Amino acid sequence: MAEMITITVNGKEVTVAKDTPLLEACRQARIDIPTMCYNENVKPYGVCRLCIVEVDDGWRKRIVPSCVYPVRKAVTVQTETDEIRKYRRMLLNLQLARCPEEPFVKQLAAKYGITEPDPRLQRDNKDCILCGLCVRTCSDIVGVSAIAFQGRGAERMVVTPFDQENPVCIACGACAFVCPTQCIGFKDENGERELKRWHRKTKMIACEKCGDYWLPEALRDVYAKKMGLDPATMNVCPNCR
Amino acid sequence: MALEINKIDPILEKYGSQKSALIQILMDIQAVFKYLPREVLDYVSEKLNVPMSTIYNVATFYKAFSLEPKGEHVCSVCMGTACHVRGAPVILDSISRRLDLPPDKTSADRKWTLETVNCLGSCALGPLVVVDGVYHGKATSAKIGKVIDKLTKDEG
Amino acid sequence: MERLTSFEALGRLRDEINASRDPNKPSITVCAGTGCKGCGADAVVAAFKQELETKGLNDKVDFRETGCHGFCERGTLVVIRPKKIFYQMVMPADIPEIVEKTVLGDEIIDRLLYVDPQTGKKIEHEHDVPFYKNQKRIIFGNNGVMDPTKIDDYIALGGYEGLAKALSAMQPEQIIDEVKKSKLRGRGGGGFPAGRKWESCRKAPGTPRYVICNADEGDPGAYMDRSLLEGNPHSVIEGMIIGAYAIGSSQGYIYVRNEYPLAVANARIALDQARAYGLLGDNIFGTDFSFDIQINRGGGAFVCGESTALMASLEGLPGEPRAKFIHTVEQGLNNKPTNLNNVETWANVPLIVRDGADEYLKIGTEGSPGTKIFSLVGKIANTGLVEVPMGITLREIVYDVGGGIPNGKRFKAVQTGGPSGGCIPEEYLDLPVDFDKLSEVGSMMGSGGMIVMDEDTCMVDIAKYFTAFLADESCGKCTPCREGVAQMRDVLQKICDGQGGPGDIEFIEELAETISAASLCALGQTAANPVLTTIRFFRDEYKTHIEEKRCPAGVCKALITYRIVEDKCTACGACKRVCPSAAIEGEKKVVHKILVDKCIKCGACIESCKFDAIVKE
Repeated sequence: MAEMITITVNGKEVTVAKDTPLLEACRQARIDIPTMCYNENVKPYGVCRLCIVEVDDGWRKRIVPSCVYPVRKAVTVQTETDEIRKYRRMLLNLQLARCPEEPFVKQLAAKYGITEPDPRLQRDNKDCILCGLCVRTCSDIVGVSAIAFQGRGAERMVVTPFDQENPVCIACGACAFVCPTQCIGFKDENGERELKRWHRKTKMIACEKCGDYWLPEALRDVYAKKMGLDPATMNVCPNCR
Repeated sequence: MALEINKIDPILEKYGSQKSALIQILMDIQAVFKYLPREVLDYVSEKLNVPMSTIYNVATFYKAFSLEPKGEHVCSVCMGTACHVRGAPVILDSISRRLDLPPDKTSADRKWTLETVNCLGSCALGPLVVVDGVYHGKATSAKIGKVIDKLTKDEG
Repeated sequence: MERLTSFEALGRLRDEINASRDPNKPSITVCAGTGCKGCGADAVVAAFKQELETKGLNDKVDFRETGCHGFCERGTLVVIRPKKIFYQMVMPADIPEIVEKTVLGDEIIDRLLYVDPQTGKKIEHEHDVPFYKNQKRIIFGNNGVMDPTKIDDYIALGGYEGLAKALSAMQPEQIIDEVKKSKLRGRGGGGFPAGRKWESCRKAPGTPRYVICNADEGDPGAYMDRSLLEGNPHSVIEGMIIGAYAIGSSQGYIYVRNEYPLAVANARIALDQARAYGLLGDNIFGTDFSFDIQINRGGGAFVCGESTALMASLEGLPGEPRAKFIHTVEQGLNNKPTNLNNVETWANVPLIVRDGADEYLKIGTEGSPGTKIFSLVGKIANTGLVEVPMGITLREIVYDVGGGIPNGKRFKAVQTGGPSGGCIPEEYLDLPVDFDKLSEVGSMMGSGGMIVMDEDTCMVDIAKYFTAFLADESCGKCTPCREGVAQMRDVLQKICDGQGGPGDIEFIEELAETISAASLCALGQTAANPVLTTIRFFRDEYKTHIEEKRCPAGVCKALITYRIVEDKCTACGACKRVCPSAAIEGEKKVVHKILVDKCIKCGACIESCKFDAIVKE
């Protein structure tokens, strides 16, 4: 049985298992904290910094990103101080200057009263916020690592190696599914799946019974191999099984 | 390519084909080829069982690596703080004009690579320019210009 | 080499080495650190070797290539023993004369001596040169007397006695207590107490435990770690072995910049020699303690100086830092307890163990005992590496050790702490230098870069330089550092280009606040320091750029024009010949003139003018 710890968030007490991410604890207390790079199915990454909160551990007060801060002590937490709101506004401004047209970013920014990026910031026109959810999902959940970050600093972006089609991509579409800005996307057409951003095109398998194209071929082969199944067993879609 | 692979295996063996030695391995490869040829990276990926995406990420993250072949001659201008306050930017400008090459680029004919480096730790010699491995301390635009002209001329 | 299987064997070896050496035998030491190599030390070494060979003196004269002596400004440095005659700026052509007169004869060559600029007197001995006299070289001093590729030289000076004492007479906990008592603080930047770090690591559950030496000296303008590892690698290795014993580790790593090839080479040789003596490997000194060290070269990323990024790099991954709410002493390399200290910190350890913490505490200040090595560079007469006791004032470093500002220029600021630090102005010259005092003025100790700036240095340009450096070196993982620092750089660029407007300074301050508070690692958290300190101390200079579109230091290209001073111009034509844009007109005997609209402000004319007739305004 895990050790339980009671913390206070915005005056509310909440009890969680030791080492629970503070963000999860706050959510248990039904306190909303904005995030861009967090998804409970993937290991937290702590990069968008929007989830910062103020933690008082009795020794000092400090500002921490709640998604990667493990609850280990009975701390007191404030999630919406003036200071934190000020930092969040600047962070949202920075993201909005990077992606001024992205509805996901615009919506979050609007919650903090920002409709246009600060005019003193240089505007770019990107669609990716570099949350890394696609990269992490592809490596940690799908287990394929078809995509990765390239470069560093402001030049950083997510690509396939050499920005060319990567044969290890199984076109499962999980990256597109987790992407908050929906800038990845894929298209199933004429028995093919295309992930344009990754230059990936693969055939789909038609269900032997209903004829619906339901599974990318590459995905079937990789999973059949991984699970030691005859690929033929995956030729029928779940609806017809 | 067969011949090139001959050069790779001893490097991999030297590090026991350990995944954690990826950066060390890529450095040795870079030292042999002066860049990281794509086919070689494919081979390393397979041998170390490291995804190509990870190798690509590493290769584009660290400044030591280049995915493009470098020029026959490499001119590195130290942009460390000591060199900066002693006028390195002016020297970089002048070299860039002389070679008709923006910083951190290789000329189309692959004769020259002009690169900037963040401090070579020879601050007393600043501004410092390294041409083909030779250190030129207390550099001036004129001094380096002569070095470059000589190398260019020697080849006709 | 025979393995040393007992503590007594080390003492015997040391006595044997010393007995075989005649202190009165003539010897030549040449500094062959990277600084002197840049001044041509290799050619000097070759000339000496040839001269000794031709004269058949190889048996009669000892010859030694050493690591960096620190006085890089005056390379190549040569010391002739037994009289310890110190020659500076030695060239290959001087060698036959040195051998003939000073080594074989008793004559001193005047022109190779250092002249004290204050008194005009020639100085014969290294320790009398003001640059050295005002230092306290407990860590760095041995660089000048030993060949770093010969372990016997280190042992002859009492090397590895600290290790022998630790292993023979001390329990791991006792060592940690001694280091705690010495109040040794991390020399890599933060100044965290080393003993406390060791203790946490020792107590952390899980094995194996690792110790790491951080030699990824990425601060531009700092090179003391390189020189230590090049010139005295065994002191670092000995420190690491003692630390490993105290912490309970069997595997260590030295993570060293690939840009430091000589440091990599010398550290490798040192590890091999230590292994051959059984000072590394299984059953060190015949005890049941085993430990070895591996060298990893860094791939060229400033952020890898950050401990978690460095560990990611050691694992073969991109150097991206991670949150440190679970400390690396608990979960570091491969998620195992890991203790990381920098080169200079490790080099302090053998001294503390060998001579005791009480002895160590006699040097430095109460909060920061010991010495610190600084790389004193930039607009300073005596460029080089200096080791001074903590608590010495900036003024003493700049003027007494550094010899002040050259060319009659005025001191403007000194930058400490590299890209994480700040610029300290004249009014704080009497500040005693230690970890806490530097932080109080908004800068930091950092790894020990000390870049001196004079009136020709533009503080806005310096802020832009550091900010651009950091934008380039940011790993790009977290938003505030990736986006924020790049935006801050753009604002500074605008100001330097004469495009600054009202509110720019305040906007930088706003950006800086969020970058500092919300960034993931120390790179981002401290990225605003160079900008904030220059705004704090040189706000007027910013204003002049923004409001008057003027750069008082004459650095920012867009804000200056070049002009020929008529009564100084001799119409020699030198500037006209070098001008790449044909922007200078003038005939023989006709005073030259710069055509402002053609001038690209490259500075070639100023460089070429022998009469100081060209000015920037």
